[in-house]
Amino acid sequence: MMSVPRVIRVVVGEDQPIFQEGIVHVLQESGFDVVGTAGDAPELIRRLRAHRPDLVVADIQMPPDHTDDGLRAALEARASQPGLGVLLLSQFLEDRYVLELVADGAQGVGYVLKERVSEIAMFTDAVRRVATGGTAFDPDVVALLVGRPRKPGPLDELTTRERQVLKLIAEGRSNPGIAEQLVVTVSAVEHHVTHIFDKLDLPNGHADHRRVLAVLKYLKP
Amino acid sequence: MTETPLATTAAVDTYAFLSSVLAGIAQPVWVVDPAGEIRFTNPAAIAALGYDDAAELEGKPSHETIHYKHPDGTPYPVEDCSMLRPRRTGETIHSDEDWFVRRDGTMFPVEYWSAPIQTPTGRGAVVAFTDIEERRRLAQMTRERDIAEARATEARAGQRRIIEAGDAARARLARDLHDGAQQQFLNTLLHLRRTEQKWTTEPEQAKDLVGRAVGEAQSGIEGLRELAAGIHPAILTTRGLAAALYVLTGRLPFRVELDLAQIPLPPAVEASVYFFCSEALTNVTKHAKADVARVTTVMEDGHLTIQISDNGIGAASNPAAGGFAALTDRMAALDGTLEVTTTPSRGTTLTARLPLAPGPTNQG
Repeated sequence: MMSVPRVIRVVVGEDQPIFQEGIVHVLQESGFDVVGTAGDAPELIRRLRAHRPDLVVADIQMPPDHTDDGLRAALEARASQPGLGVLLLSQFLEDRYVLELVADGAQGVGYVLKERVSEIAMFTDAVRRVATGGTAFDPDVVALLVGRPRKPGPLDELTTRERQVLKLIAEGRSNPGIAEQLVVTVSAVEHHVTHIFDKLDLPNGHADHRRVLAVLKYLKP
Repeated sequence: MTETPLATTAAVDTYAFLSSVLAGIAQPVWVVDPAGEIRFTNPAAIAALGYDDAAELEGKPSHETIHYKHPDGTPYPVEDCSMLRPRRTGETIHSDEDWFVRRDGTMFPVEYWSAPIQTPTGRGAVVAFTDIEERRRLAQMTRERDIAEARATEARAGQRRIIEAGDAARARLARDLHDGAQQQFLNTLLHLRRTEQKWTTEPEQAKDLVGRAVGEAQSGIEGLRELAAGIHPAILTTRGLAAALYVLTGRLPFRVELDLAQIPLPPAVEASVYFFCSEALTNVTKHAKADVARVTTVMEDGHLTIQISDNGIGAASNPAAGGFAALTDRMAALDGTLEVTTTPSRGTTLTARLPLAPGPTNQG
């Protein structure tokens, strides 16, 4: 693992004590500094104001309303602290939030299923990406978005491999990250990316978070 | 007119005789002469037609005075009038329902008999009529009561079906939990217990068991997630009907076009509409073999119309009536209606219409 130049400071919002403890353990054991925890949305906002961390990891559904309190609290905190990374945990497989989160830019946002926390390498990779201004969307959620039945169009012209690459782009992965996943060379990935963006008629050559936005906007029905 | 004095005298006698016979009879009666003019009315007829005195009617043309218009106000031409036909043909006419005009222009429904009668000036007609307004009102009340009773019976049956469907859903839920998550977490526990035993003696096998425990726990979580989404998707509460339908339709094996009116709905109605669509789309998945479906909602005249159409094989060839009954019950519970149109190989369209109390809107 690459050495992190500066320890990433995290606030965790999760109302179920055992799971909160689990998240904190996973983060601490992976070298992150958990500077605060909260069990409900108002408390989460207070912790975020007090600590001004690099990242907030929050359960979407939290007290007091148990609807999308965690999501609203995190976005509210980000409005007063631009650059705050927001990684949301969800119990449900809902591609809708992904489209909402990237509505005004895909920088420093993430949305993963709660159980990913137990897949430690994948989870900490997502934490690191979001904390440093990148994007991390859950593979299952992106699969739902890519696999959604739609009108015949340029997507049908992608090869199986190109679809895999498209999906990994939408998850927020970099070319080296994609290469690692697919066990191919980075230049092979670059080749696929060029083809995909040509076929879908999207502008290529942007930073990772810009191309996530382009791809997700394309996938939006 | 060339009437002999004898005839006139005879006429006076005839009508005087009729008058003495019919004066005390409750049945309204009047007599029309060959020219169509009223020659005699009894007190019951005078009262029913809204007059004070026989003199106000006698000598007046019958049709033009009490029978000149239809209930909708359009003119009733004398040529079309069968009431006075007995004068010419000698037949007897009966009508279950016609309308007479009172002096003040208002109308009332009548049943009448019109029979030929020999008058001093030739063949006229005697008309006996009954005001049937009250009878009609009672019949209407009976009809309304019958309809209400039929509706109540249907509603009770619908409620019973809803309760039965709820019970069946709970039973299914218990079975799903038992066969799914419960089993998987039990397996997880067993694998972990065995791992505990083999930890030092057979570390390779222990490692394999941990892997299997993780797999079981993961599918347990997935199962619970699917189950929860089926019971009441969280996104319906947080983001409303359109978002929930978007998520729902993303998992279906066919494309669904959503064209939804932007109206805030009361939460209970929104949930009902969601489950209605969910059930209808499940029907499409199971039976229709469609590759595209369309969900449209329109708000108009205080009613929400939900239309779900597909381009599948049409339900006529398969008895999916059970599904439609459940959908009909769902709508009936909201005082709504459901119409199903289906054509073999041309798809099925469900049109549900339900009344909505005016909700909070930001328009105008």
